[in-house]
Formats: sequence, structure tokens, C-alpha cells
Amino acid sequence: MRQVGVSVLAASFLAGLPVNAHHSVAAGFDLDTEISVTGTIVEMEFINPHARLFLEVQDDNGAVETWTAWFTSANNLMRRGWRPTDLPVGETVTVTGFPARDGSPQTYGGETLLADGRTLFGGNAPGQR
Amino acid sequence: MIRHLLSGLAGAAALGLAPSISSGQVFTESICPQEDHAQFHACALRETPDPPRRADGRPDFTGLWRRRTWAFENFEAHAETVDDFGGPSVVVDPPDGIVPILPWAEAERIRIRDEHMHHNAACTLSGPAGTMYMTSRFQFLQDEQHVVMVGEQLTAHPYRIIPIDGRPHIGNIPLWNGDPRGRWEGDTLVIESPNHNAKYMLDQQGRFITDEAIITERLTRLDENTIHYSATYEDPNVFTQPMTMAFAFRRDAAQNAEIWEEACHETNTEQLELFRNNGYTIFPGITGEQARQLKAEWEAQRR
Repeated sequence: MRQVGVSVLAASFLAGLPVNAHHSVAAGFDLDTEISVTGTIVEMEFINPHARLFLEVQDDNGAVETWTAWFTSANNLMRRGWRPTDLPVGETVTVTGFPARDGSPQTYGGETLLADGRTLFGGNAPGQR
Repeated sequence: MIRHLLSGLAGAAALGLAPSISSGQVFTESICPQEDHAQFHACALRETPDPPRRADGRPDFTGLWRRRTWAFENFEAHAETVDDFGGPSVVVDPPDGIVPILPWAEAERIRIRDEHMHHNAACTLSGPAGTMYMTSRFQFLQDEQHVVMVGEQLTAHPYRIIPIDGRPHIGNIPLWNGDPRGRWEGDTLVIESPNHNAKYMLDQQGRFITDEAIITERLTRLDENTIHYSATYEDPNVFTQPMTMAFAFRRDAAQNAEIWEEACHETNTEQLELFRNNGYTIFPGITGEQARQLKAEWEAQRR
């Protein structure tokens, strides 16, 4: 497990991006706030209707918390080119997305930055909605 | 930057990812432009259909199709936001594109929107017409007795089997997608679906119908690549007049396009919990009898 934690982004670079309107993400996630979560992959589940990534995240005090990053459907991710080999257990990634409204350690993922510098998008895309 | 990463194959290839499998929309030309639903509807009514035909002479609806509307967000014209793709009104009658909702029902709509999660969050079905604009990808199959619609994406893996051989309705059973029977009016497939439970919203703005609504759908294959779809809702409990929505289906010409299983339950328990934690409950629907009572109460409060 490697560093490091969760940060609230000052820049609103996800704003204006339709993320997933199929049952109003706004009901569960705060679309006015963007966070960045960096952690180590515990498991990636390619399932429907929402794929999810489990990350072990360590805060500044060394405490470890498991976060869940939600994405669009496994089918959408597959059609977009995501593959299980892109997200191996133990790799450190950074997910930028919207935080859960209930304060639980969950985010609706926009982009996932991989260790090799590639970026995967996890929301709904115009070509796939 | 993000937008460049969205659009399927080109973006994926630039990132060095595996080639997408039927990654995006690939459409060929259509006889009628479909971006503005009212204009499309008018064009479709004006043009003479020239569909591919089956051996029996009927129009052939088989193939892979994509619906060209985001009516599930909002029937009326709405802007693109962080949670909406946006688009023009899907309502073509009344011609002003405004849902002809009764005042009591408008008040109820706002309550529903603010208190209940959209039915799709619970992976329930969207109704006979709702399925057609909720579901993103379709494969239509057809023989002399049936038109079958198999869907994937943005809804609960729906399918519709429409008998077109003149058999009677099942009757007296409330079903999520109703009790459909189809018939031909010239080259148009007309589907009537009574016996629907109406436990779904029409859109994410809380619009609704009752179980007494009559829903009539019409599908006309205009040409090789285009289906003209319309649905008329008649429900005097909710609307001041019948309301018709219309939009296009476009043939999906993406290489290797196919419909995949998309089970809508694998993670939905957890997602539902998140919505419940924020105070949203599942929309139970409003029956015709309940609607009349709610209307009377609403009117009494304003006397």
C-alpha cells in the first residue's frame, strides 16, 4: 500500500461534463465538489450497472481507509477500451470524481490516472450514452 | 481535456488502450434530420416511407438501433449540465413543446422529484414508451407474429415482445411495460399497451402518469437508417389534453455492434443505500383513484 489520501480540487474541471444521467448521480453524489483520491488498488469489479474500484487510501496520520470509486457500466468501460489488465491489484492510481453526499468514502469517478500516465474516463460518454 | 477522452475509439486509441468494441455511434445518412424532435416529426410525417421489406411485404424493423433523445432527463427542452446531456423538447403535441400538465399534477411532480429517486435507480422498468427513450441500444427482431425489442444500457436490461397477429390482450394484470399488442396501419406499426402499473416516472423531473393512462406508440421505418417513433399519452387525471412525444431511432452501423447482457442488479443494492441515506425513497406510483383524491385535496386547499 502506498500513499496518499484525498483532496478537494480547487479547479472545477469536471464541471459541465455530463457524467451519468441515467438515475441522477446528483441524488447520491455532490456534483458541486470534486475530489481526488489516490490509493492502491484492492479490487476492480467489471460489473453492471456500475463498475467499481476499491482503493486502500492512507491519510496523513497513517490511517488506512477503503474507498469505492463508482464508474459507468462494465459494458461501457469495455466498449471504451478499459481492460482488467489496466487496473492490477497493488497499483497506485488517482481517481478524480464527485464525493458521496452521505460522507461515506465513495466517489463517482470521472477520470482515473494510472501509474504509467494514461488516463481512463469512467463516466458516460457521448458515443455510449 | 476530458471531452477528448470521452469519444470512444479515437480517444482510446490515442491513449494506447485496446481498441474499443463497437465503441461509439456510427450512423449513416437519414432522410430527415433528427436533432430537433419537432422538425424531425414534421419531416417524417411529410415524407413517404421507403423501408426495407420482409418477404410478406411488411416493413422490416430488424437491426441494431440507437434512440436519439435524452427525454428521460426532461421531456421539455433543457440545457446541458453536469448531470444532464440536455436537448430540445421531445413533446411535439402540444406544439409549444410544453407538457400539458394539470396544476395539481404539477405540484405533485415537484414533490415526487424532490422526495423520490428515479425508478431506474432501483433497476425497475420504465414502461412501454419509457423503455424506448430510456434504453440506449436496441436490437429489433421480427417475424410474422411478433416484433421483439431487446435492449441494453441505461435501464434494466429490457425486452419487449409485441404480438402483431391480432390476439387479444392478456388483460387485468398490471405490468411494468404493459400488455402490448401491435397492428399495422399501412407501413406503420401501432402498439397499444394497456394494463401498465405506472410505477415509474416519465422523466427525472418527476413527471408521471397513472395506471389509467392509454399509451399508443407508432413506429415507421422511414428508410434504411431511420425509424420515426412517437408515443401519445392520454391521461385526463394528469394532462389537460393528449400529449405526443416523437424522436428518431437511427441504425447503429458500428462495426461488430451487438447487444450485451447488462444485469442491473450487481451493485444496485449499495447504490440504493446511498440514495436512501440522502433521504430519497422509491416512487410508488399514483393510481387513477389516488390521483382524483389528490386533485380534490389540492383544489380544496385553494378555495
